[in-house]
Amino acid sequence: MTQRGTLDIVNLKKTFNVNGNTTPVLENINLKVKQGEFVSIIGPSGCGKTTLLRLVIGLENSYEGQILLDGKRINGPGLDRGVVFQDHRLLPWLTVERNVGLGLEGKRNGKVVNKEIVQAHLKLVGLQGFEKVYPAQLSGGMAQRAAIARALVNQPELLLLDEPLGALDALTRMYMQLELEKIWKREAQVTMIMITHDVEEAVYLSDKVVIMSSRPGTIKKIIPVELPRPRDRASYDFMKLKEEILEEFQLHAENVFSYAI
Amino acid sequence: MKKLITLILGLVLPVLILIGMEVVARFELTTSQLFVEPKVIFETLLDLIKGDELFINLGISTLRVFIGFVLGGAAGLLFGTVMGISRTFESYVGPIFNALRQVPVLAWIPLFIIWVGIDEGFKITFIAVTAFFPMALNTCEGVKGVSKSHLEVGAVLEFNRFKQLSTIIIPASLPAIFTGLRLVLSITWMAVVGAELVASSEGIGYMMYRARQQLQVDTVLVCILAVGLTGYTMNILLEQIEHYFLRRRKVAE
Amino acid sequence: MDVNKEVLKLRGLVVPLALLAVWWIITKNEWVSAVFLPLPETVAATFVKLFLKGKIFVDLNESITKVAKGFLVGITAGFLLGTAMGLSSTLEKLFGPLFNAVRQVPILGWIPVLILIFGLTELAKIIFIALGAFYPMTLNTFDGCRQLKKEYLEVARVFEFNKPRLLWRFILPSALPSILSGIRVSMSEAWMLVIGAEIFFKTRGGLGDMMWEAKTRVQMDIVFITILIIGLIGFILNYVMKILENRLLRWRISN
Ligand SMILES: Nc1ncnc2c1ncn2[C@@H]1O[C@H](COP(=O)(O)OP(=O)(O)OP(=O)(O)O)[C@@H](O)[C@H]1O
Ligand SMILES: [Mg+2]
Repeated sequence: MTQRGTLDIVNLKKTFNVNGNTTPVLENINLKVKQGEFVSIIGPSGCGKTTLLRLVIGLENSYEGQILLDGKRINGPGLDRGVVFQDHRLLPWLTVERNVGLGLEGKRNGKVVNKEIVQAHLKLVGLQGFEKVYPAQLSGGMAQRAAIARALVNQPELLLLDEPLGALDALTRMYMQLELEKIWKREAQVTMIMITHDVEEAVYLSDKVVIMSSRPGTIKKIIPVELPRPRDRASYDFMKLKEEILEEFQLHAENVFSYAI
Repeated sequence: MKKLITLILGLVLPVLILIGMEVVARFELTTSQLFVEPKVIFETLLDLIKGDELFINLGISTLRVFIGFVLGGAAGLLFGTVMGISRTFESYVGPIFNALRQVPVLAWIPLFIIWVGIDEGFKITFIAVTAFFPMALNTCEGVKGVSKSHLEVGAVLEFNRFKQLSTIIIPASLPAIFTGLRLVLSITWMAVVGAELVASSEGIGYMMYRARQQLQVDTVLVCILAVGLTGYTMNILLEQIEHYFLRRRKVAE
Repeated sequence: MDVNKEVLKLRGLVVPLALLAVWWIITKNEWVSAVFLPLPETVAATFVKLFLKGKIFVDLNESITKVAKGFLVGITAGFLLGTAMGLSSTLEKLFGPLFNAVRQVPILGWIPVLILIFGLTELAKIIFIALGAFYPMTLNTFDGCRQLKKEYLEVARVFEFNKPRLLWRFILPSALPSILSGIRVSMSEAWMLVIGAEIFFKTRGGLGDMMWEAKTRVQMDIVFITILIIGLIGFILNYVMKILENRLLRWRISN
């Protein structure tokens, strides 16, 4: 019996057909994520991170290998997985409240219960008082928080985040990292997988950092982060780990370079 | 294969309509003398194509549209450009322009008939006025929409007014101007039919009017076909011209 | 360079006032026959008289009732066809070609056909108006239904939305701006065509007929007044629709 919220990717291979040519995008991907774990995926642009995430979401359905959620093969999107897209994708014609409640609409909870759930999640992301506001009136960070609340409302076992903080300025981003950690702690059952470009962000938040390399996208290394929380960004161990990960990219860059010669 | 299916699907309804008409005719489901078989319409079509009545009338209407289109369109283009460039000019004439624009074009007919009579002058005036407003409006909006940064390029290069206009403003507002032209084409084409329905002794609108009075349903339908087809052809022509003028931009995008 | 708003507004009055003055001078000096250009005060007096007599309200009512019927029929049909074609590419392929072919005929060209089929009846006029409202409504609705971005569709999939809720929560709201402007365009088209119907079908009643009568009797003052009223109503309809649009599309306004 596998636990709720465990993800098992075995020998995953994904190709795209472009103008009749098949190009491999992901190859030989093997990844195990335990319940409640926070995993970051980091890698050069175009290496297939988003594609990997979309496969787990169920938005892409043709692949070789296996993607198992709680031991069951993933088949299309489902409410057991929450998604935060890079562009928040809040519906501009709905208020924040309605947007956050989107996932509850199909459920027969009754209005009052739904409202309470939405309220609780707005509180979780610190957006009380913004119920009736439209997305266009929110700042980038607020919109991203609303998107996180929307993804959490259905109490997913797995939360998938594609560069959720990528579009934010450095200060807001740091603040949102704290928020994200808080949310992750409070929702102790939720497994989180986050794509990021920011090494520090990955080290700060994750239990495990997955480093990918491109063409085709493969997992190059998985680095466990065993620093105690709350983490100190200025500590020696933190810095060292950051260096170690950056090193991976450095090497990668050199490889490309020598290859070119 | 996909194209074939699209084509067949598109033909389903027209064919059904024709079959329906044929069935009504075969089984004599109606005694109305207004009802005509598809065959009769087709014969009338052939007759009219062989004769020159249809083409003469169509030609006259097209000429009227053309003259009205050119006069009204040119006036609208000029007016719209100036209004778009000069805020002073706009502040003086903008409000009255917008007020007059509210009057549905068909409501001008009685006034023009009293002032201009029912001769050629009336038709041209009417068509030109219907062309003027949408042309002026679209041009003005196009010119106003020219981005500040493009204008600043001109300012940096110390272009004079004329150069600014010819190298930056007009080219940049060309898409809007073409939108205006397309609108104007369909409106003037409607206006000519209207003008000929109320006051004319030739032209396609008049031909329809007379055929209607003589209960020649087939002729009316053929005229409709001719009007639609002519309008459509002109539209395509205009699209080609637009395509020619804007072709380089499409590549740039 | 910056002229304040008040001045701009005042400037807008210059041309109309000048026109009024010219008009007054011309008619006072009888440079133009009063038949072609009545005195401004005659027009004003007739205006007051028309409203006092109340006959104009009958015509107004007639036109508005007619336009309302035609407009409602037209936009309902347009909405249905537009959504059908927007949602299903099969239906688009089925109806699209015929719709586009019929649309090529200038709307006034249908008048002889309608008269032949339905006679000079109320029904003929209403169908005529409805047809005019139908085209822009269909086109705009169709366009609107295809506005939904792929990204939002994915959101719907992630939340496992079924077809009806996808329509209600995603497709229709994203189509709303287009639909509303379709309604607005249809409305002004319908308003023009009711006047057209009253003129071209040559039947009694309505503002168009009132105008046409005045033309026949060369009552220039009444022609002026009807143009004014028709323009004013057109403006009001448009304005109300704009307000409605702004209210319903509040979400588009950013801070
Ligand atoms: N639908 C598609 N059809 C064809 N090729 C695709 C498709 N989606 C992605 N690709 C290709 O797959 C590769 C991986 O894309 P993906 O979006 O997963 O990269 P990424 O790692 O998320 O990059 P970034 O960090 O820039 O977001 C790219 O080369 C891209 O061009
Ligand atoms: Mg990506």
